[in-house]
Amino acid sequence: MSFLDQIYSTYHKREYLGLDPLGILDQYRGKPHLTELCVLSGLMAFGRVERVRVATESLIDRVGLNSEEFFDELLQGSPEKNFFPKIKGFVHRIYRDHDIWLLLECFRYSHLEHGSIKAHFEFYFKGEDTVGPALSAVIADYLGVVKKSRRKSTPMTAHLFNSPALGGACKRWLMILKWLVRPDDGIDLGLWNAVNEVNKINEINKMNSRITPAHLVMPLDVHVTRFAVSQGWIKSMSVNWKQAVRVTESLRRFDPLDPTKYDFAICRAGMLKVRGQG
Amino acid sequence: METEHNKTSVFEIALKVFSATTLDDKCHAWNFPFSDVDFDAPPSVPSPLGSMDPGKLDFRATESLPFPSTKEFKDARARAIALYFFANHELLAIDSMAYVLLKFPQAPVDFLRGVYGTLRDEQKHLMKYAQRMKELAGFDVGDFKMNSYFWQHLKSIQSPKDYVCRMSLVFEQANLDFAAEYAEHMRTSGDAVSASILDSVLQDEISHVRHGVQWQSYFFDREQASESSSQVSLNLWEDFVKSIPFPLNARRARGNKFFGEPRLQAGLSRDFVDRIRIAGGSRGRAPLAWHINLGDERIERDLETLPAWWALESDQVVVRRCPDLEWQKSVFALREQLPEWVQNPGPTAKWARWDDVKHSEKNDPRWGRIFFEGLIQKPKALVMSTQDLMDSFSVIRELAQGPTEKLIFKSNHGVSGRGHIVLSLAHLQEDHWPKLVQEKLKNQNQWGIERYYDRICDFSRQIEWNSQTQEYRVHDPRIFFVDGRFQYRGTELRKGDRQIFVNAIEESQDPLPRILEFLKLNHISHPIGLDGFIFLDENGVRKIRWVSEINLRFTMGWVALKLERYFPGNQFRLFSRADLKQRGVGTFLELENQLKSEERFCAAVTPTRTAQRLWGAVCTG
Repeated sequence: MSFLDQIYSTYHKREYLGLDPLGILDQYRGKPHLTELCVLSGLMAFGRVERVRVATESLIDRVGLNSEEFFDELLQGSPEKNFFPKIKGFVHRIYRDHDIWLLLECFRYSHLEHGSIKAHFEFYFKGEDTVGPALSAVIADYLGVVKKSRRKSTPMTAHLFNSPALGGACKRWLMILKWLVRPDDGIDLGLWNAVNEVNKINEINKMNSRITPAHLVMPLDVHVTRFAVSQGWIKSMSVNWKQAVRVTESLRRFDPLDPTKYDFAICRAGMLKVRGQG
Repeated sequence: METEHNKTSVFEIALKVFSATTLDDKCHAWNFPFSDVDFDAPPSVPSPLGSMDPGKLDFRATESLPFPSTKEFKDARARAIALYFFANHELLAIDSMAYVLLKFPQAPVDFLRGVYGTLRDEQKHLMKYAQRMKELAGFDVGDFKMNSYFWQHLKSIQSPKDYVCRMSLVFEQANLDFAAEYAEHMRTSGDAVSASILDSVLQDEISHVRHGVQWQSYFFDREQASESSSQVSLNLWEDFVKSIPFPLNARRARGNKFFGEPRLQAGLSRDFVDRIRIAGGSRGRAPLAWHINLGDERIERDLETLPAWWALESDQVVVRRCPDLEWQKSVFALREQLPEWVQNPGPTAKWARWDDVKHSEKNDPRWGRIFFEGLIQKPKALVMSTQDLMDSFSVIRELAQGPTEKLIFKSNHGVSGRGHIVLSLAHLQEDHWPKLVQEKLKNQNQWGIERYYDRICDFSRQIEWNSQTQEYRVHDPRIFFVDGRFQYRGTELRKGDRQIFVNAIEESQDPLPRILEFLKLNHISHPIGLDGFIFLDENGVRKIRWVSEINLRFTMGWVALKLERYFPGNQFRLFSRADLKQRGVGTFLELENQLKSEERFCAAVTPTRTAQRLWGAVCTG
């Protein structure tokens, strides 16, 4: 068993979920609008987990994201009138109420134009090697929404919409996609796939040109990056799209169908200062 | 055709001259003084012009003659050959003037009379030269091959003004110098007869140039009165330059030696004479076009005249606006040559080298990076976007660990230090990091991030390829200055203070030998700039990093090296508008005057008199 697989078998466990933003979502499994919940909490995942948890839960409550009526309100009438007062004054790290409203407008766009965020991604996914081009296209759409919005974006709005097309590593979007696309193994959520086995997901989705775990790209956080450097997969601690693809390619040597399955375990090992032999 | 007053039409005479293939016919007009010529009658025959060239006298000649050196002028044959060339020029002038008479019959009669008078003078000169070379060496006009140089430049004229600008104000003006210079050579060689012919030619040429000056002014005024207001800003000089298309240029209106007095006698203004005295331009060699390419239009605009300090007279410098005369004169006083200023190299582009470094793949920063990685010890550096930086506090913190706890963020689009930002991470908590990024680092695709060193000085070494020796020349290090934002601000125009280098410990071995080997192997002949610095390490030890950056292009360090030839021992410095404000002056001219009163020495190396600019450059000491 390789060192990587040892790490995987040791740390890819639910008991470590408390250290991860994913742990926040665990309580919402089976609740409505989980994709939007993923996106919201993924993008808020910035800084200490406890603070992220507080901010995310507060936001979910404010906008009623876990209620059945959420989309009724968002897609009909005057959503800004309904929603903005609820989020007014919201602050989480660099994000302000305006940023959150713009994000809700993006949700609205995906639903009105494509039916869902998933369908939005699949609209742009043409069977490329990675999810990168589809992510760039969706982000470009979202930036178009932001541009047209009546609400002005803040300097940090762009931080929500990092794009591979601009060379960004897009850690949080890749993390969100991993939660959604990877099968439900107790850690990730497997929301976008009806079956729960990687082999089957890949087989089915390959035929339908859908996003599979094999198309995911590794989200680079400090632990993953440091681990990748220690393994000689990348030369520097630079975090950008090229580096993310390089790390993913290296991980494909261990599991070509599901390279990002190691993400959770590598992060936990990094947090607990487990080092491999380079 | 005889007119009713027994006068001959000027057009008939011109036609006979233009199509003549004998010397007698080429000098046909000589038989018709003004009193016998009718300038008013319209041409009775359709103009034969079009694709037609003038009749040639040398149809039997097979031998070409090289122009003799003046050192050979003791030999009568050499002097005769020189006269043969002058006769050739007279012949071409005769053809051109006959052509003008035929092409523009509706031009003002006084203009036609002037051209006809000039044509008769040229015939007189031709006959004098013919007679003298026969006496000296026994050969006739037509015995040797002749060139068609003037004709090639004149056959495309579209107006009488084109003619006066090209013939009177270029070729005949240049002949003021040639006639005076060769009269002196003939005299020195003991040939008083030839010298007196050239003296009389000079006197005639003065009146020919005067004719050009008067008629350029006349046609210019008429054009100005009739054209829209957007086109009336030209003065006579600009009009002249505009009227002499490439490959003609103002430099062609000057001989080997410059004589101002005959020009003033011809009525040229002192300003015009000064401009001719210093004008640059190619006299046949394919010009090299220089274009300051700094990646920022505002700086380019301000520093676009810098190539004046190294470009050859035959080179072109692409500028948005020609520098003012006073500044040009100050550069000329030191260099004794100036390049040609062009706003658009246009027709030269097909054979001029248009800043080939700009278009070379070797100027691609990625190429530089590969080069850099392969040859020198790569400093620990990261490449990240603003968005990714926010998520990467731990990585950034780790990189900043060192004596200063500072990082330098290099803008991906920064040039010469522009856009570089230094951030201190000392005592910074993770929670404050996103705010710091938000405040200090604007959204950007990529930042290059390196550890900040406590620098004592920066220096650069320039490498130039010498095509004659087939070797690289490595210049000694020159210390350069940057401002707080790492923007280049100047260079010491003297060899580096060796003591600084001697007292510093090498951080690692100087990679110069490997770099030179690599350059040779890859046949790289572009200028290369190697930047390095001396710094204090965490223990306060003075260390030297020989190469921190390799620039495969012309750099400010290279510019400084060129300036050093004229200002050794001084400093090349860039001043910005912010400096003006700081010094309490409003313009770069005021700054220049202030510096002159403060410094031992000050010279503006970019124009300050007319500058409406953000940047200016001076040398001070």
